[in-house]
Amino acid sequence: MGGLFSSLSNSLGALQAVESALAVSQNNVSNANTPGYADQVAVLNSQSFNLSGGLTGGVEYGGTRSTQNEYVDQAVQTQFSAQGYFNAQSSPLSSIQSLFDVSGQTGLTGDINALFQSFSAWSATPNTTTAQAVLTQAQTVAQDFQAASASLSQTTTSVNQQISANVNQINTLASAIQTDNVAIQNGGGVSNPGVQANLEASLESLSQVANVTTSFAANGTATVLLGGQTPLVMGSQQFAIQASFSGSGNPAGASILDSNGQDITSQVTQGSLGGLLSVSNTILPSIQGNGTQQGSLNQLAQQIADRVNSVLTSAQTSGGQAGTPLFTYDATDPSDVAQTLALDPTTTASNLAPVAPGPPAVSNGAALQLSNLGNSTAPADQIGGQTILQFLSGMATQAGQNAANATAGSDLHTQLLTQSQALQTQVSGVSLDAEAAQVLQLQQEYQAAGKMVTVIDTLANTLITM
Amino acid sequence: MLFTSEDVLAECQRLETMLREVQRRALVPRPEILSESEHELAEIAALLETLRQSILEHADPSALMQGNPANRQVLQQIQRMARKMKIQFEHGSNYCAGLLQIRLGTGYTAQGQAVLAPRPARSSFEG
Repeated sequence: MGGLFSSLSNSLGALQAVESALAVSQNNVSNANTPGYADQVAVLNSQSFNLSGGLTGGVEYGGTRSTQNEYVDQAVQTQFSAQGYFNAQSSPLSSIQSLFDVSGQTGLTGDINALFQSFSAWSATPNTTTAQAVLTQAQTVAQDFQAASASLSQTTTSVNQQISANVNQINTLASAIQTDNVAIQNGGGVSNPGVQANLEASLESLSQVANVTTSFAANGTATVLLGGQTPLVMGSQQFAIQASFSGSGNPAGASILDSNGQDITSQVTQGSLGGLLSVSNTILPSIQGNGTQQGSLNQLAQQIADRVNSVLTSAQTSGGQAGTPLFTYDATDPSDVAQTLALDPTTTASNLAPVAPGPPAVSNGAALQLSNLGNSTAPADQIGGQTILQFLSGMATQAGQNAANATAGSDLHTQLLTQSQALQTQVSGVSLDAEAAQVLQLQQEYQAAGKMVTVIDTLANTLITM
Repeated sequence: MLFTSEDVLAECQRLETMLREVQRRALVPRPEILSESEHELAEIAALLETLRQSILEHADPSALMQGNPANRQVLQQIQRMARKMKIQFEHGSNYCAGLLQIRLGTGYTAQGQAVLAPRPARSSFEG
């Protein structure tokens, strides 16, 4: 009887197994459009076959396993992080680029060029009309420096606000993951596709904001580390991070602090937060300065002001009076020069001094020296080994390059993300043997296509240089 | 035979369009599509070589190329797309290599290829 009972019991088990498998299939269909959802495969375990021992074989339902694995998920998340990094930089870097016209025709670069042209016209005909034109153009340049400085400060404020928003978003997503972990723990080992889908969607969103790595415990709960080191979620515990702008610099640098208040800024290298931190802590201070560096905009403003003032105060008016400085600025803070640059209120067209006293005195010597200042290679006129105009051109080029890199990086990683997602879909749910054969074939095709585009690159280069 | 710089431009633009289409389709990770893409890339390479030969055979190659700055711009765009695709294909190849290594690998060859574990012969094809 035991044998008959076993057979009946076994048949019932097999029926239940098939029903469970059907339920899994139904789940797959109904959740197919849920973000982060991966096919669930029913695991049907073989039962032992030993009639004498009452073991009649057959199958039993052994739960489900996700065909999505950590490798393909991480590949997608890596591309999300890289894309997030460049996307976040695009807007602030475009704002910075707009301040420096690389053609030298408009804005600050155009007006500095125009100032040197006004010096040239004044040297050709030193009179009050051309002197007044110098004053007008110098006023425009001073206002441009102030406007550029104000614009950079606005960009810093905006970037820092975005950094705070990103940190809040990380904490919100970490909280959602922690809630999913608790649900998984409470599930007692029974997989809930809805919870899994939520978890995957949160992890994907999180990877757009920062470089996170995820590992899964045997019970299915996720451990999420920021920068591979700082825990954000471990099982049922969440560790909140925070943004801090209380550094010593002016403007204050942005810092990210872990739940113990430790500075973990250097661990955030990717995702939108990584991109914004790079803009806030590296790119913007290199231009507008902070407590530890003067910044290229202030270097430029100070060099122009100091050299112009030096020439003019060493010169004389046609009436023999000592010259007066053209510019003034707040000399107490080197990173504040651009913001405070202005025309010296004592200077007028009549006391602008064009005469180099010599001996021998040259009636337009000082004006001539100023007209050549932009291209002067005299060490005192240079900034870091570059002429003033070379330095200005370098700033404009760098700003343009930074913006172009952000756009190109965003384009590239959008493409790689699309490819990673397509690969994820392609390999997910395929049997291991079929997958291995297909993946091997894919790899060979990628390599062959890669060689062919190298040939195209070389041929295009040959044509470009013809 | 190409006689004017406008002819060169038209041919470059045609090749750029072809390359863009290959780039778009190659995002689908299926062996047969990638194989087709490879053949189309070979065709583009052959057409570029034909273009190069035609220019060389022209009485004044430099005038043909430099007479229209747009020629260079389109070729630079082709070059940028090719370099981007190279990264795309390297990414795909590395992705597959990593996947094979995780699933079936026992290590790497000196050339960085995944070494797959030998699988025992099966006495039955059931299951």
